[in-house]
Amino acid sequence: MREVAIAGVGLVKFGRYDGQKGRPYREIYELGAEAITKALKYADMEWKEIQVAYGASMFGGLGVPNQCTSRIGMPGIPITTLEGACSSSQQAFRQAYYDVANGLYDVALAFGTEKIPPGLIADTLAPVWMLMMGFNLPGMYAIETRRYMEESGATEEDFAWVAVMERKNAIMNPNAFWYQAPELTIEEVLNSREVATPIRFLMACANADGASAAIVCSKEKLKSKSRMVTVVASSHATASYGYDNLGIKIREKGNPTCTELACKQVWEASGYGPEDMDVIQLYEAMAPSFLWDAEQCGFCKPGEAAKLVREGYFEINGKKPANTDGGLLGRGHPTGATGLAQVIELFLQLREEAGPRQVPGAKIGFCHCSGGGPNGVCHILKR
Amino acid sequence: MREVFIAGVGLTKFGRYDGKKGRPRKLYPDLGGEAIAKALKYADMEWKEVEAAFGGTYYGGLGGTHQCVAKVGLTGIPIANVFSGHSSEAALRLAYTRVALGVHDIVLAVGAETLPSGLLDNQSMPVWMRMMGLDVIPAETACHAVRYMKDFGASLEDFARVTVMERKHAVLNPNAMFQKEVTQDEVLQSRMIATPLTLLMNCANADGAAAIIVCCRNKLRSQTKAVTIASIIQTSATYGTAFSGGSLSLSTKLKNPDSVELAAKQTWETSGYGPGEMDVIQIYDPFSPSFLWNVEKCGFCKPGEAPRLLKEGYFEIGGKIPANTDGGIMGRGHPTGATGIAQVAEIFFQLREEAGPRQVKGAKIGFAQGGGAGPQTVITVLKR
Repeated sequence: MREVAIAGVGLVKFGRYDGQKGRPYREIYELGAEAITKALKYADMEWKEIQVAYGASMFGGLGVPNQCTSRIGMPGIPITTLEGACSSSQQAFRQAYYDVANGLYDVALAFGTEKIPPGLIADTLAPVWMLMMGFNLPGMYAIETRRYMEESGATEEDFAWVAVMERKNAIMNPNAFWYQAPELTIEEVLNSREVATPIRFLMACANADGASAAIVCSKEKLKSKSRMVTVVASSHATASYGYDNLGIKIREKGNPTCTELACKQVWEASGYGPEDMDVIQLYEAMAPSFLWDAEQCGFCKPGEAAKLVREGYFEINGKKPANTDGGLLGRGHPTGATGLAQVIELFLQLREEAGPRQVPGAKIGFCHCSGGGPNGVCHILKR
Repeated sequence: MREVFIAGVGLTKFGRYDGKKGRPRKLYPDLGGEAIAKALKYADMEWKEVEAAFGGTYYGGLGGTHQCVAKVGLTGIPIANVFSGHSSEAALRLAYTRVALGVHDIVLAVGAETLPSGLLDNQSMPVWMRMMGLDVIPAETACHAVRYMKDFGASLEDFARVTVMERKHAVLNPNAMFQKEVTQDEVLQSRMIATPLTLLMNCANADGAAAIIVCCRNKLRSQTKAVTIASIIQTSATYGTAFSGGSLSLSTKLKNPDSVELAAKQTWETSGYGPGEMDVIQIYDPFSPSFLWNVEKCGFCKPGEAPRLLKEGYFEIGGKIPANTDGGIMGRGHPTGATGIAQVAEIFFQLREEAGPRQVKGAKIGFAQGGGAGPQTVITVLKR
């Protein structure tokens, strides 16, 4: 496998493009096309240099990637739509990475775009009988959270701490949903309305619209090699026996989760360990999942994460800066675009272009994204 | 790149699994699981040997492949959903590249579908086109058909002949939805859907699943009559040939090759074969007129020639280039997500000489075309 570099990235500010309350109205394919155009500009490349594209969207439906690319140009290249729920675009990134790493193509594009309806989103991943019985996503997280609280002794206040930290980071990120929003307090989070006990409104990510794109290429195709960021390793795992389709543990004794499995693979493939990472991105559609993700990814021992969050361990100036762009809770969660947004934040950090949220001297970074299926996708980037 | 073999194929019968009129009720994960189990059995492999899976459905919603795989077993392997409408062949392409490049040794591609009845919602079109009612798929093909009739003098009888031929082939295929022949008159007199397309010139919404296991040579259980993938090409639309989702915005001025022509060109260049060398072919025809223009675009005859050749029996089993020997989409039915792999599966059976009464004698090389939303085209060439 040869080295794969990230040539350029593009993000459309995560927010609402629904034309309501004075907000602009933009179609899903306009958002996607804008992100791609920005990535091309960043990479200093022309559209015709792209040899293959992987696009992702969770709610856009069929052919949305083609709608995005056809606004830029139609050269007839293979364009594949990938759907991996919340991890969709990080899976697209993974396929693009593989194609370049194995020499199938020299320049590949990955992108994700999303416009999400308001309110509770439909989780068609659950079997029909579960949906008919009223099953929903916050409900699923609530079940997992209950178990986690029991096992680790974490409290609702611990979850609030996560939300507060992430919103603080998002304030500094011009592409975040909560950019320049006022900081949250623990009380505000704990007093926000209940969504699914014990998860409260401000512990849940915001439905957002947005798009993200990244161009990966072989070293020779890079226009500039200064501060070159490469992809060190990629992994993707799904549920093993003992979990249902939603990732809920249904057997007491059993296999690792798909997150643990994906992390194990990525540490093995890269030769690095959690201790080597300068900056990390964890997946937390709901605040509690930050805690168990930090533990399952190996950044601390089981049950330890809540304490570390309170100590500021995961803050930008902490020991292991996490979700420096605000994470899902601060950046917003346009499902199809989220996975790649995580990669992009690492890229910007490693390039030292993260502005006020820069982690000084960051050289190597890790991201983990989860999605229905369940999927666990991990990437390690390095400068 | 290493050689990639097809170790096994599994198909469910295409038909209706809606629990109505005495038919069994099955959901697409059930069908997908069944197809995977059959493919494993054919390949003489165990589920735990499969290292990655690609697949998809059109209407199943999120995580279609995960749900199918969950019926067989959860082993933690990477599973990616390729969400490209009719083209599970795009999933096969990814499975193929992963084996060819040495990332994995054994990979599964699966497509499964349970379709609603009636006109399908065409999600691949931009919102404004859908709001204006331009997303009626038969109407879009009807525009194309009228243009084809005007350009080449094709007639409604020509379109009807495609259906008649495919239904004749379908009778020989126990997995096909239709097990009864139709006459040209029946096709012409069936009710009008979108002028000039009558009901029997449209494919039937169907349910079903198809799975393929690809592997490298040393993972094959038996080398006898081993079938390899000679090439698999995927393309998307080019400027002036289509606008996201259809032929409605076909330019009258520009003459760029469209996704089918481009894919065919790349296929002949990559595989080193030409159309004349194909022993058996599968053409993508969700509507009977599309058979005619697709067979021309793929290079099996000159533009405008297909109606005459069809009339002469050129594409029938026993003809010069047997096409859609399993009934094609008109005879087999069209469970969108499963169709792409079913196209390739038929070529596999033909090359293995396991196609029973519809066997094309001595078939050694075959061609399978799939299409999908985007628009996109995937063409696979198999050889024994």
